[in-house]
Amino acid sequence: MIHDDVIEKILDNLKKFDINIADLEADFITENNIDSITFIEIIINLEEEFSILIPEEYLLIERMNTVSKIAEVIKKELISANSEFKEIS
Amino acid sequence: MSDLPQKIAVVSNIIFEPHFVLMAKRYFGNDVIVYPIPYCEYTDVEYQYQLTESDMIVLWLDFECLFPNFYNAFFSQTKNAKMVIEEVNGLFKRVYSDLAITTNAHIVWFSFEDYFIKLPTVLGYNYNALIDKINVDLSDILKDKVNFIDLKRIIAEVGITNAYDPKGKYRWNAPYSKEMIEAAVKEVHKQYLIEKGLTKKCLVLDCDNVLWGGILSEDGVENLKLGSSGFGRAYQDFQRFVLSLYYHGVILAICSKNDISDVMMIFHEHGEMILKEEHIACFQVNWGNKPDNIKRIAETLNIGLDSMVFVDDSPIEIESVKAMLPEVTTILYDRDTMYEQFSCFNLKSNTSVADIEKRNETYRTNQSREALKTQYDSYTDYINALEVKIDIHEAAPIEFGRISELTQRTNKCTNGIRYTVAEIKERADLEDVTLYSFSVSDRFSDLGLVGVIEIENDTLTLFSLSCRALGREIEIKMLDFVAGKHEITKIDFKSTGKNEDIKAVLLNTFPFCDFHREE
Repeated sequence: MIHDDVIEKILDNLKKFDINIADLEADFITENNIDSITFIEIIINLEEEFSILIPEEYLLIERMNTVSKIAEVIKKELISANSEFKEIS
Repeated sequence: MSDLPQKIAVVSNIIFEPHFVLMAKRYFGNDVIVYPIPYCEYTDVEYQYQLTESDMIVLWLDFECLFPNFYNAFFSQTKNAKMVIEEVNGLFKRVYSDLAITTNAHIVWFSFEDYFIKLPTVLGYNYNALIDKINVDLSDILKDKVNFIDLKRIIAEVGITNAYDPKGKYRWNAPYSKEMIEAAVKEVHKQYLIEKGLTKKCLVLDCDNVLWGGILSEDGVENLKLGSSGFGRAYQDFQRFVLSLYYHGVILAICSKNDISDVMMIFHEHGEMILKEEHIACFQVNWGNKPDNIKRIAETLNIGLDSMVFVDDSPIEIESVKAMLPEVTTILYDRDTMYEQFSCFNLKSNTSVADIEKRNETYRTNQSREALKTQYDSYTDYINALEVKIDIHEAAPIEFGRISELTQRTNKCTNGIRYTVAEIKERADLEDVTLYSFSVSDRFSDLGLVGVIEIENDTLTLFSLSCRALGREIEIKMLDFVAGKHEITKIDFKSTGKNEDIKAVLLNTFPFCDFHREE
């Protein structure tokens, strides 16, 4: 398993919801029987943790149901937030 | 029975998370469980189970989600207001009857609001009464069944610009802001305290610079500020507020450093006084210190110090009461900022005025009873002279409200068991449960329904007697009556911290009973 900072932070956040991940590619939403409200809570938590806003087209369970998928979206947002910052400065 | 709800079900067509749960934990404690129940699925088995489990149900339906085309249907005249109102009423009656079948829990029901509408930016603030008409009708249907909450008032508190979260609305159907949800949960908590009767009972008032402006003994009657205009207006408004508290069940007492004759003269003769002598259960007007006088009021009215609230304009008096009687809640009179502090009272809006007047009369006539007592050598002679009459019958449904209030307000002469109206209704349907109500009158007044006893099989499950009926041996007569009718072998008993004395009375009538202690 390849771990980096973003993935570590996601795993830490999921632990708050009693979700322990063994496989980054596994559909943890179905495996853990997570309802839509908990899904929303997880997303809001991650948005606060990374100070980003996840684009609305990703706010579907099937687009965010594995740690890999979530990490990919978050990294993309972090990069674009960073480049916006560079443009301003 | 715990004082806080363990489980709250929130039935809604919008999302309140993640904020509702966090706020609920803040107000109701960390152990509270919140069940978010989607409105369109509340009849599903899983959610029905959660509804029956819950101690409290919050029903909050978003008008925009229910009827997204409502306003345009109205503007295009394909529907008129009457049709819509009937549609909404039908829907709500059905939801209520579904809930009433499923659960006896306390229901807090939010009214509709129309501040989400963007049209005022183009139409201006022309009054559009539609939502208000719907709310008025709903309030009539749901009256006495649920606590119907004015959602528009909550939005007004946080401000329309702070109440909404457009991002949340379009991302996951969560239209309200965190601030708004906090205000709503705070209100749900307030309704819970009101329903459970967790409130202060007695308001003790200073006079000078509280009920009127100026100092009676120094400035003289003619210079007091009290009236409908000018500097006296704030004092008159405060008296109006206090009178409203009285009409919602608060016992009023006066504690003032003055000559009693001067104060009584103002109460009798000052044309601008809103509070009258008959509203006050006890006057302690003298030059003694206030903590002692407040203690005397507590003894006279048979009320615990922790149920009392004291208002005074002098920081020194407030500090002395805080130091000597830390159980008493104190409020420093401040015309512009003090009203928020009265939130320590949690009063029901549908109190019976007749009951309140009767209760106040009892407190006031207690002084006549004391006078009679001094004329008789023995206590028994005195009791006989009082001509106490007790009416005993199986409780009728119309009395359930008063009985619930009695179980919740009584701390001294009680087995400590408290019931909500819903719980009484539920228990009344049980075959093995008998509920007796006791109404008392004597030479001086009619005390009304002051006592209640419930028997389940051979167990005495409820015993409560209002403190205003104490000192007439009514508790003994109540227990003797029950002992004559039922074979009691067990008594449920829960400490209120103040009901140890009554245990001895219970043991006296039922010496061989087991006490079941619920802590």
